Amino acid sequence: MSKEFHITSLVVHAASKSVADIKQRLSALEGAEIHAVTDEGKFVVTLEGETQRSILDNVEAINALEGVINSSLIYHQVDSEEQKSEEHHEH
Amino acid sequence: MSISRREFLKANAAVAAATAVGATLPVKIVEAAEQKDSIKWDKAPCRFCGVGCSVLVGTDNGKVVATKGDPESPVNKGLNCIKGYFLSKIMYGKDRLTTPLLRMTDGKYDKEGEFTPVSWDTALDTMADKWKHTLNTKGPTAVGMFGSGQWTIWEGYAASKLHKAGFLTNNIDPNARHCMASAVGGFMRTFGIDEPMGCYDDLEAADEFVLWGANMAEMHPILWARLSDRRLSSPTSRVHVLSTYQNRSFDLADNAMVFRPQSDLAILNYIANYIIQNDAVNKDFVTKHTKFALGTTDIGYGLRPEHPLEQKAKNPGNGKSAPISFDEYAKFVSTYTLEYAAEMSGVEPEKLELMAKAYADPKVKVMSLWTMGINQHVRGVWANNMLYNIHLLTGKIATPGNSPFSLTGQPSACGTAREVGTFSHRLPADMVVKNPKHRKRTEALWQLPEGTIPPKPGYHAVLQTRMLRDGKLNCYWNMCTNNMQAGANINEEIYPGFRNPENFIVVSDPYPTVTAMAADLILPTAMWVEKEGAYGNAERRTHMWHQQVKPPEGAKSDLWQLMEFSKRFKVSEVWPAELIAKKPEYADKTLFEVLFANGVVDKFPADECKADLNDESDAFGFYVQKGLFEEYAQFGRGHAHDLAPFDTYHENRGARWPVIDGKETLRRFVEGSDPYVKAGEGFNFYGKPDGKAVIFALPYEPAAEEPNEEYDIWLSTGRVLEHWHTGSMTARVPELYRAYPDAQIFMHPEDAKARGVKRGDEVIVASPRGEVKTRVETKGRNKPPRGVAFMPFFDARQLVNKLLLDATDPLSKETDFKKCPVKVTKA
Repeated sequence: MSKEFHITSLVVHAASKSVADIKQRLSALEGAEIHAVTDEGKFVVTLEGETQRSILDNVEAINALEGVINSSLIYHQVDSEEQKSEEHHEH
Repeated sequence: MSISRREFLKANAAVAAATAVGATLPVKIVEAAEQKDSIKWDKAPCRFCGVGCSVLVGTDNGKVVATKGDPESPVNKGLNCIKGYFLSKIMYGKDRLTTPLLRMTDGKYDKEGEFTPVSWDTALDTMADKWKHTLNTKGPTAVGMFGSGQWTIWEGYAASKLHKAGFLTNNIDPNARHCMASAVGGFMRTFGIDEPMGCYDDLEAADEFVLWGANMAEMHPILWARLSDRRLSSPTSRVHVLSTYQNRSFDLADNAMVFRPQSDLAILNYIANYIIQNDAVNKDFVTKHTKFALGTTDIGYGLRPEHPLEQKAKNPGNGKSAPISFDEYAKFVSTYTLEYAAEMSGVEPEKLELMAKAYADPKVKVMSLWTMGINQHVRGVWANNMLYNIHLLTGKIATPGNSPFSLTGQPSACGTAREVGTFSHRLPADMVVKNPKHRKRTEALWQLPEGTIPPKPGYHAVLQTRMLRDGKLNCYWNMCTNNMQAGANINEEIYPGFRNPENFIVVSDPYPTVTAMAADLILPTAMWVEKEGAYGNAERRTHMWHQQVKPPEGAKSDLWQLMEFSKRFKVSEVWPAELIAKKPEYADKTLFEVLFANGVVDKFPADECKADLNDESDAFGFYVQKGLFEEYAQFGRGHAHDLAPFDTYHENRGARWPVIDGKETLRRFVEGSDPYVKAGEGFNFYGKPDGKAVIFALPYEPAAEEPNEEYDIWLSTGRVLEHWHTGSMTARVPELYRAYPDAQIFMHPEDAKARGVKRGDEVIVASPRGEVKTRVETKGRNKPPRGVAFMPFFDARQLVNKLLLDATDPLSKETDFKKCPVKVTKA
């Protein structure tokens, strides 16, 4: 199987009292990057990694953070070195 | 991969998320995202639940490689839930079916034979032989179909037409019978017209929300995100959550209530009584726009007629009612006091009162939300009626934020099953087969002789399985549904019916589901964006998508299968001589020619389709989807179900019917929003001849079975966030499977202890109808009180619904999946 690159973005809605705390915790996650925070406490976050598993682990970790009200996945893409390969992404 | 490509992909992802919440991003990210890529993007509704989110589907080199929430969708506004996020993978499971499989021995069909690959011609010819033999020897009531709220609109329409007008049988029913039939029954009984009057916009307009059993945090996550936004941005907003066990929706609850199974009926009447006792009835509204009726009681449990519970019932299946006055209604509910409701339900009285106050306060806008807890209920139609009672008594209906809202489980339970009328008693646009005027109108639009459509309702879903077992239904086609896992009482009813030697069972599915493996012939099916489609969601929104990839070689859409099958029947082979005599020119035509190449369905040339792909139009030589849609749309236009012209749905993100002069309708029955309500009327519940909605006096009646000494704990079955229904799609997405691989039984730690088991232990869950092995969860996302357990039904290795009794609401024929007494013992 070709080497993959997974990229995901999500919106994480934090309770207003927890915004600072969540910011710190999100930044600490490997492969996570915060791109923006809105006034309502919504974070625009991307997660990247070489396996979907690593991304999903991060999603679960985010959902479990205290003060996270809701997280919504927005975008998902798998990219590989051999883009034109017929191979399906089977595990 | 180059760093710049990674940055580009990341920028794309970030821009999508920022767009969804209106966040501003640094310029360099936006610039990075503006590079070109080879991915082609097009819209499609999500394949899963009834919310009807729009996703953007990215295809590259003939394969779906990316998905993102559609920022232009008014439903999800760019957001996705975890299932929607993995949509790109549902078509690429390893065990995708690519050839028809027929049970054979020595090259011939044999019910006890092994599944053997055959050509499509062999498969459909074998089927046609079986159908013709059965039609000739036993008549049209011996053939039938079990369809789906996941069918596209034209698939449901073609299937219904093929059965009702081609094979002259009403034995077609959708799996929506298991999920929305009680909601339909409630709408028809109270309002005389199906589907919610309000819409999702009410989520932003309501002050207080009441969840009646619905666990929206897991089952309708995108609507939950909208509701959460409203709650958190409005300090006076409140969320009341009712359920028989604590679930994830309780995290946002201001007023959390765990009630005893079935006691919702007592709580509903208590609220009505509270409204009356506290002088909160909106007298002007009630006088002008409602009337009162006393419903027939002791109506049984929809079981086989010889079942002791049916024998005991005074009025089994009786949905009749008699007019009463407001005073009589008030007297009827007066016994449902706070004390009585609290005692029946086990809910603290102050919590019940807090909720009742919200409904009663004329200044508070209330949105009620419910799904399977209310619908999959032996008194589901009543419960729906009783919810409307509360909103009607207070006049809190059809205005922004005042909204009794029936949530939907499947993506097109509304658009296909309900609006097209693929039920055994229905026709398009809320018409019914029993009504001679409705049959006549349908026959005229279909260019068929009078008397074509049989007047007697056919076998509904649960009756179909009973009739299979009894050998009265012999040719049976299952499409887009997995009843061997989803249906109740599998061991005693469904499985024996499938394997009855008198029967020939066909299952169309993309994957080898439990149902497919129990069939005699399996047809490999194209799914989702492998075909052009249209769905209708819970807020009356019709939305469409184009075919975006080719299905795997060998798989064909349900629509192709239905139409291709119809070519194998001559009218003279399936219609009686008396009927043919009324239209002798049809005698030598095929059902395909009479039903589909009828000058209306085949009116639009294939090149009108603006997509690169359309396999069905290529196969039949005309724009099949447009022709079917436009023929179907004639039923509703001018009849309060108006749909827009076909092409507009490919351009917009859907529209809520009735759509008149290009304008959708947000709220029905109310002046200024609904074009069917005239100036000066205020409200008009025009589904009823006198324009008045009905408030029903209905009592609490017990569940079919209650826990006893041996089967001592209530079991409810349902869903979890990660999986959708029987997992035939989601369990094939490795990430979702790994996120939630095995079903578990959720129980109270003390209940586990009392049975000598602890968290993680293997247990046998048993009812008189069977047993399953599973593991105990006492600390998970669902926390039942003592005496109640919950188990999801997505796991094909733990067919938990076989434990359930096939007791139904006697009016809607919808099974109660929520109240089965079981025993749990250490394995």
